[in-house]
Amino acid sequence: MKARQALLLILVLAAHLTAWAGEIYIVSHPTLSIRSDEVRDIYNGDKQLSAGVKLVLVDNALIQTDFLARVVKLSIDKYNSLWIKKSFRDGISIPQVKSGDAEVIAFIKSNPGAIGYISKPHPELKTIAHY
Amino acid sequence: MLYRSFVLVVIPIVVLLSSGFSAYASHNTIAAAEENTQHLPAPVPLTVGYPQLALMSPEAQQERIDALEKGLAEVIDQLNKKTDAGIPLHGFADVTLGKSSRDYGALSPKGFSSSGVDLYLSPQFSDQTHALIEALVEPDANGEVGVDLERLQLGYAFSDALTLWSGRFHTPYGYWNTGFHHGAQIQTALTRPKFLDFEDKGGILPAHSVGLWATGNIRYGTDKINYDVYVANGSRITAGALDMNNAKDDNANKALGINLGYEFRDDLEGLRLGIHGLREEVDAYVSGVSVARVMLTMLGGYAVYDNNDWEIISEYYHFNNADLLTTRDHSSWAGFAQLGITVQRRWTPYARYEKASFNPTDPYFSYQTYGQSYQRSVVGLRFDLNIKTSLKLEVDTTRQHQTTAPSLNYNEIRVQYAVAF
Repeated sequence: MKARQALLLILVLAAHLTAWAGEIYIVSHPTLSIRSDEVRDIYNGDKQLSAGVKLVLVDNALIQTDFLARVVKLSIDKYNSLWIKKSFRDGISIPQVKSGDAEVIAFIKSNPGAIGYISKPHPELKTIAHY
Repeated sequence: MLYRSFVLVVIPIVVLLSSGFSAYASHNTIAAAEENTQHLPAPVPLTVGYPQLALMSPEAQQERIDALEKGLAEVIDQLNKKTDAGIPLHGFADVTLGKSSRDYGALSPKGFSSSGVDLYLSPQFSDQTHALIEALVEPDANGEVGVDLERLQLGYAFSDALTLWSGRFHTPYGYWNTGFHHGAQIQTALTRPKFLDFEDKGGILPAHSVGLWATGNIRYGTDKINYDVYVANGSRITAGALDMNNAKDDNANKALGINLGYEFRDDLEGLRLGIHGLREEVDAYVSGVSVARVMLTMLGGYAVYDNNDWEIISEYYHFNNADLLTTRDHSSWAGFAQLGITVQRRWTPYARYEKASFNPTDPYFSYQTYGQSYQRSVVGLRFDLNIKTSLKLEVDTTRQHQTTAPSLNYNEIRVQYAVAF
């Protein structure tokens, strides 16, 4: 019984460490020019344009919680609440949530104003920052 | 008769024969095609018609093919993007059950009510041109359902530092009016501060304006400066309530307003401080005749802290109004402070205190039905069923001053179910 509990504890710790150690790459369409210090403003809804191009945000469901905690400094509840308010006040679109890296990559490749985050760099996307 | 018999017999025969001939012809055509394929020439080389391609090395040809494939993929992507998925429609709705210890008129809660369904959409015409359209379907005091065009904004975003809107918008004073407005679900409390309510619900400031509005934000280090500057039709007072002159202005004077905010980051994350001002000439009408003219001058400030489960909102409005018919100046003020804290992600107890001290000899207030001084204390509890649905319980006690009668004291209780979609 004790061995099972120890194993369970190890698994939980391992899962926690894996989540903590996961890498996040902020990526955009290759034509966009965005600085790493602008990422937080973008995901706060304060920055909506880059050189006249409307930014299109996409969230990655697999690593969203980590991304919000590390980069945007918000809990997922606060983030969702913020975007409902922003959408109502400023008429801006709430970021789409994609299921994982593959969907995020496909979306960004086909949208010139798109920005998102994935767990591994992708050769066809521009890497803006790495956390 | 003979003719009918002829038709009934001959036409089916013709149809049968023709289908038989068609099948035979098809069979022959297929057979011929099969035979012909035996004699088809060899596939045409890709270089035919492109002599320069013939001169290229195989690697260069492959590069050319790759480039063409990439171009084709981009065209397909562009075509996919053109697929119109429609414009998302969002909105708010709520149902409230309320009771007041005293019936003080149309605004007094009694039984079930709904503030209606608020719908908004924001079509994007290009990267920089967009619109914001909001309509409220709501019942009036008599239960008649009507549609109010809440916002109709046509905008052009020059940059993050400047977006220019034209049309009807939520007047950007303070924090509450543009932050929550008809979104009962996104405001912590069940009710708005009384003096900041909508024009037809007892508010004493124009909650909406029709004109031009410039807004934007500018980074200052890691912090942020927000601004709003607007020019709009000046309001008027008619039938005891403010009217923002939605259709056309009743005089040549325009409303001018400004709102300047400073958002802190890092150590003071979530803190926003701001100042705001509004100046406009307001005529009061009784039975269609102008009986008073006031130059409204409002200046004030606000402080908001929204972080780490805490929400603190306070706003202050100081009025220094000039009666343009008697040349007398009148000073008044109003303000509120609200405090709420979210515990265990779902429960938010909150409290608010409001006070308004309006000069009863100021025509700007005396011609408004709800322009009397008052004090109100509010306590409530909000429970979030999820991010888009909440239940709220709120109790308030109000002492409203009256110029020709003793103060009106009453208590109210409300329960609300609010959703956002």
